[in-house]
Amino acid sequence: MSIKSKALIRAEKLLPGNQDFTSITEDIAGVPEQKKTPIQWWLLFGFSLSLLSIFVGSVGFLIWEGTGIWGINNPVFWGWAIINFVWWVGIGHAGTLISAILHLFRQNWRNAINRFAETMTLFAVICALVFPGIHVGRIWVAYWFLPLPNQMGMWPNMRSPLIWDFFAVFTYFTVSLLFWYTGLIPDLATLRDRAKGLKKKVYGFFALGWRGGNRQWQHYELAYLVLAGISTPLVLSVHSVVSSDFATSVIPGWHTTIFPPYFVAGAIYSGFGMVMTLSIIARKVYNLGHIITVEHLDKMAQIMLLTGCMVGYAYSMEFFVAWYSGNPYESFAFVNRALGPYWWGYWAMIFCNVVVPQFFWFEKYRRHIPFLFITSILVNIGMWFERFVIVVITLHRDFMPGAWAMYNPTMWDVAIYLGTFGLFFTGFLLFLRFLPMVSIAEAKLVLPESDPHHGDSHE
Amino acid sequence: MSQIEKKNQEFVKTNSHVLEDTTNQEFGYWKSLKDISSEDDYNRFLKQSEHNVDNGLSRRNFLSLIAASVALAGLEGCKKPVQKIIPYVEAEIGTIPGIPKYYASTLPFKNNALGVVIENHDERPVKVEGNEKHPTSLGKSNSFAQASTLEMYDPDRARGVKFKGNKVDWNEYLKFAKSINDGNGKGLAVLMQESSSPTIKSIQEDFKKNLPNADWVVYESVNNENLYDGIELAFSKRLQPLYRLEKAQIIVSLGSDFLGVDDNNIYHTRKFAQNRNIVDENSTMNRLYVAESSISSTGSSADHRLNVPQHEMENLLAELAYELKQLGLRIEAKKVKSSNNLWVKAAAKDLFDGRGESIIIGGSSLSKEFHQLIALINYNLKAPVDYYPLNMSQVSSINNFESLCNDMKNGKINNLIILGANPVYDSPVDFDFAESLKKVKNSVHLTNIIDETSKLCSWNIAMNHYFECWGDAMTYDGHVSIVQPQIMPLFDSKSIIQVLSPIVHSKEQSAYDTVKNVWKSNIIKSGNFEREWDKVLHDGLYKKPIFKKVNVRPASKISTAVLNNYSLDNDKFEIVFCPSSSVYDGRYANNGWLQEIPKPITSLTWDNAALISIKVAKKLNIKNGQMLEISVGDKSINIPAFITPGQNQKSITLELGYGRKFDGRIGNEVGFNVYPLRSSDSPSFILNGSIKVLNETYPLASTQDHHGLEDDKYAAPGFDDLANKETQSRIPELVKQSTLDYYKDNPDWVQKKVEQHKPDKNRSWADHSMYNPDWDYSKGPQWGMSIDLTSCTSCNACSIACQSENNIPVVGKQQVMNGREMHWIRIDNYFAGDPDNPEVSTQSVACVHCELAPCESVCPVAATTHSSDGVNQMTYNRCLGTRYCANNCPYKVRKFNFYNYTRDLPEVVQMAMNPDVSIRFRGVMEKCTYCYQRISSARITAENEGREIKDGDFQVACQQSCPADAIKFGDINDPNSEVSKAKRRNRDYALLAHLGTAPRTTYLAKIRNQNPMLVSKSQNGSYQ
Repeated sequence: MSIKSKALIRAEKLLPGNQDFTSITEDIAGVPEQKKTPIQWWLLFGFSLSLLSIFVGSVGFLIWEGTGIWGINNPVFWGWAIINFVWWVGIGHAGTLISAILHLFRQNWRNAINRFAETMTLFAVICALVFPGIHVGRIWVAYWFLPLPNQMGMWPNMRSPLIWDFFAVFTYFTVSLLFWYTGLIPDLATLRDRAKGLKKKVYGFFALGWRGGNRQWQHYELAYLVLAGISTPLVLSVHSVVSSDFATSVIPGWHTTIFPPYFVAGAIYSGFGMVMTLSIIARKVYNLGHIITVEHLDKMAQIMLLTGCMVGYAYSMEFFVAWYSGNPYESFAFVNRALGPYWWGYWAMIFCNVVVPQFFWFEKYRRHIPFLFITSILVNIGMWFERFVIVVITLHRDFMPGAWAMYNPTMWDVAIYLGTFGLFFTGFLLFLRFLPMVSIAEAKLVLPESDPHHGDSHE
Repeated sequence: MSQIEKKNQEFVKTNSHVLEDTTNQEFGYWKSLKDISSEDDYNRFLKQSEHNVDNGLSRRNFLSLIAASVALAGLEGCKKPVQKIIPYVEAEIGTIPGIPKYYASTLPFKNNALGVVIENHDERPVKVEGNEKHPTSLGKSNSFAQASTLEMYDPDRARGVKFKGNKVDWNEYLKFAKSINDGNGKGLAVLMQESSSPTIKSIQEDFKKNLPNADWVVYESVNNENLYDGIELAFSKRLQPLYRLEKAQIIVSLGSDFLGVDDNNIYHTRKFAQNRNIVDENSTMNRLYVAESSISSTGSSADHRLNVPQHEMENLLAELAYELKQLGLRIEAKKVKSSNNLWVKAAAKDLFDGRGESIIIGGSSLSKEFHQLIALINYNLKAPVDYYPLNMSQVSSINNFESLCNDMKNGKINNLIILGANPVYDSPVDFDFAESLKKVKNSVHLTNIIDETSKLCSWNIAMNHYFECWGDAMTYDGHVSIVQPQIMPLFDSKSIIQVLSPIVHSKEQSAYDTVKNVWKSNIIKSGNFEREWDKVLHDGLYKKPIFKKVNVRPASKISTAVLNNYSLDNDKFEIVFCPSSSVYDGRYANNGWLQEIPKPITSLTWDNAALISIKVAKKLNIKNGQMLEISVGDKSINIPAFITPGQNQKSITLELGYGRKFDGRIGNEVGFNVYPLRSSDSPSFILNGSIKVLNETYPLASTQDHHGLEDDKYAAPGFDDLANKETQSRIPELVKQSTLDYYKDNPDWVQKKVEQHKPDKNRSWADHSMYNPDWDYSKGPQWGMSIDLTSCTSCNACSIACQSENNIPVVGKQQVMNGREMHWIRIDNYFAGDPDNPEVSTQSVACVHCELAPCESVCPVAATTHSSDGVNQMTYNRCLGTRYCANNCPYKVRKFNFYNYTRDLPEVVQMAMNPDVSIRFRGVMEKCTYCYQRISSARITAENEGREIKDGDFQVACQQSCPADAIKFGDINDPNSEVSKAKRRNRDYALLAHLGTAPRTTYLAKIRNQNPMLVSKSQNGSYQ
């Protein structure tokens, strides 16, 4: 009779079933090593490719014809393109949060989902980065965002939040890519070791000669920690900077100091929503219920509850400040959100972002997978509406009633938005097919075997 | 010396080559590249040019040849020396390419003349301005005059001569024309629109002499016949009244839109605004009472507007007359059914007390008896109205037109010459002109576009635009003005003189000779003719009017006015017709600038609609754009409804001029033709029209969503007045306004108001400037603008002037519906109060050139920056199109090129573009530049002359056109400039000043001169 160590209890929760190093490697590496690609994958991939072709076609038409194909107008000069940009950037937040911040806090439960989340981040940020490029009027000179030396000495205007934005998101993308890749190295080596022929060479090239030696692990851990350290402020900064696109303006409803924290909370919220959606699908399709467990989903639901409440607090605080400021323009901007012509957008946001996560106070709902799945999708719908509320409802009625107008999206707005899902899922499915979707090395960390003190921690 | 004088001196200097018309010319029409594509013409021209080459290829000939080959904007050199029209390549010494020239001319409009100065770039007319020396325009213009440039370069204009649809030679027509001159004229008739041209009058006299049995009929669908008839009843003479509004302190308008679409509107607005120029609280201003059934520009400017259906207007006048009589005015008036309206009593008292300075102006819907009554009242009030002789043979006569139609129907007319008019479209429906026309053997239509009438006429002849021909026109007070060509006819078109002379004189006469001869014998009777003639060409008009005002004496003191027994059934409406502020009676239907300009009050573009009142709409559950079937008797039309504040509940207003079916690609089938309801006995309104609400809607393109009175139909349930309340609460902030009395008691109320929300004074905007933070903005000219909301009548002249000056594209109805109209100046209309009779506040808004511009800091590529003279500038080349600037603009004045709007611009239309302003490409932002091209040109001139720019060296386009003179522009560093003076007035305020944007354009608060009798105490000063 022995007292179960804490580590063992934890491991049982996070990795149920009698698992060991081999079974984990087999289970995870087995997916990209499948000889025959599952039919579900092909179906999903075909679907994604068709969405991607819609994306390519509609962006092509956009470049050919001009931004007039969208529903934007005067005064709503920004429409779905910017909504989608902010939305995708927001989704891209969970990856780094899970990888970096939870890593720093030694939250090992993250290990089952961090690869997932990071990959999702990468493709989400790619989707996001598409929009600043294509939403401009003259796409062929979009490179003027870059501080390129030129004979006229023209430099970007560093006071413009769009430039900050551009740098913030690019930095985030670069660091996320490095972080993701660094985390992949041991797993790539595992795949290399198990593969033959061309595959071995390709995996081998990217594995950078990883042998799993002690010194390598030591350097690796340090590098990973440093990258996590670098990424952590980015989680907070990127969406803060994105929010400054709005917060630094003079438009009532945009010009608010609450935006940076509120945007970050919302970003994490939507990021976890997306991770939840994807992991529920993946664990079903690949039978990974024992690796991505209900325990993981429960933890994610808890974070969603937290961030959902933060977002809800921000919504109410905006109203309070609008009323308390006594600024009639500000007050109207918020009243118009709730009761104006786009009231349904506002209430959809409130329902999805504030009401729905309240169910997560109860464990029953946090562990009810179909409920979690629907909720995670609702959360992302809600977060999309949040950006719709901020961009469209604010702009359509600002200072001068003589310039007020309604905004109606066109089929091209919808097509490009749907198209970015094609871009996202095509990339994501390729990742699932060729790379380990869960970090093999880190998943093993939660096994009792990897705890040299056998639970004898310094508590 | 005024600006125009100077510019025109240049013209006199160059006058040695007399501007000639193109008669007998073998080749020499100014053509566009498109036209010259006809191989034959082109080869023939080259052959002629080769002749020059044989004599040695001089540099000049070489240039001439090059020009011909390129046919650049129709500027080829002309062959026959006498017929030259200042050929650009052989321009005389002193011509500097790129420096525009200005020539005086005249825009003939109905029986009036509008003096204009036309800006020519490289001998290509591109911009119309008012002529300061001209009594009708007084240096100002209106939207029709401004848009006439585009009309000139309309690619849909008729070309050459056509007989039964086939192109024929002009000589064919000459043969035909000579053949119908049989010395008798039986079976011949001429039908034309109103005109005031002494030359045409003289031709008309010859016509009567040479062809005694021929008819000459004048018909205009929108005319003043009732007015002239009424004056004839009053004074036994048909006379033209001229309202001297500068002397009027009390003005009562009964259905007249004298500041809007009614005749002589520029003159009226100019003179009216003179008495609204409030310098300080001690200034006085006139008071305007308007009674009307639908808000017009005039009604929106009124101090007291009364909402009356047209059919009660006569009763109102009778009531007013009775009140005046009670007050002691020597006038016969019977007591009538009283509406107990305080408005009538107040207006009557004001009119009576202001005798000598008060005036009544009647609208065209009043019967002649009531116009007589008005004339008599005005006479007894010693109202500032002058009467001038009226050339009856040149004004519209419905009776003559009716007998012509009857003659045509009875087959009595063999030859019909229609000059410019479009009677198939706009004649009264009961005359059935189209059917009558089919009975005429030979019909000639001189037309600027192949229209409804042309299609039924055997001969179609392209008509000259007034830029292309010689002619003349006369103002009401007898000033004869010259129409002189700026460019050779683009489309092989002919003038009225050229078409008529072979019929009248059996030989073709050049328009130039004809006009000059008429002037020699009839107009310039004293002095050296040639010298005077040169002066006329320079000034645009002859200095001495050819007649004096007529001293009138009432024929009888008793008015014959008997009230018509109008009665309106309960569920029926009166249907009111009014000319459109955009297309008038349909004549401007193919003008994109006018089609797209938002109409005053409704902000509607590209359509007409049945204007219905808010209450009627609620009662019958009618939505905007809902199709209505409006029927009167057995006639009916379908037209969408547009809910309009201030519309009378018993009245439905229909704008004329839409729904045309013709060869104009812009205006074909745009809007709805309402002429089928309009018959000869009721051209102004019909009683007992009924409406049927159809279950179908039609999209209407209005540029303004919220005026403050319409429901927010998409708002959350139960909150449909959310936007209205908010809009109304913002009106006093945006359009600051008070009554004159309140202003006199609280002269500093505007400044107090501004002070409340003034941003921190310590914030110096130079610190935030992106470039040159050390720049001293207190030096050098710093540009600024002031707009006086008291005198602005929201007439749209500024907006179209801006469009013409700055090459602003027309985007079409769909794009307007998408909210993408490009006008740099938009006119906001706000309504507050009673939906039936709202208080209207209008405000023209363009870029206000903030000193601390929110747009500048957010542009990622620094495409919008500040100039050293304080102008917020757009660098189109640098603009990337993120549209962030436009989002961050609190005034929403930036316009974005969502598409490449100028890509499909026909070459001919490209000629209308101002070469000083770049055409913007797709994907760039644009906005008001303070006409920077004009600033630059004035600066260069001043530098060349070694001096500083002086106030008045130039005007910006909107300022130049504004008939109310509400816009002042200049150097705000110069304390003596007009704009500085305006900005020092205590009514000056900046829009959204609390944002700290420090706009360079500021507004002068609107002051309403309300009668204390009509303003309750609580209401007085309620605006604050």
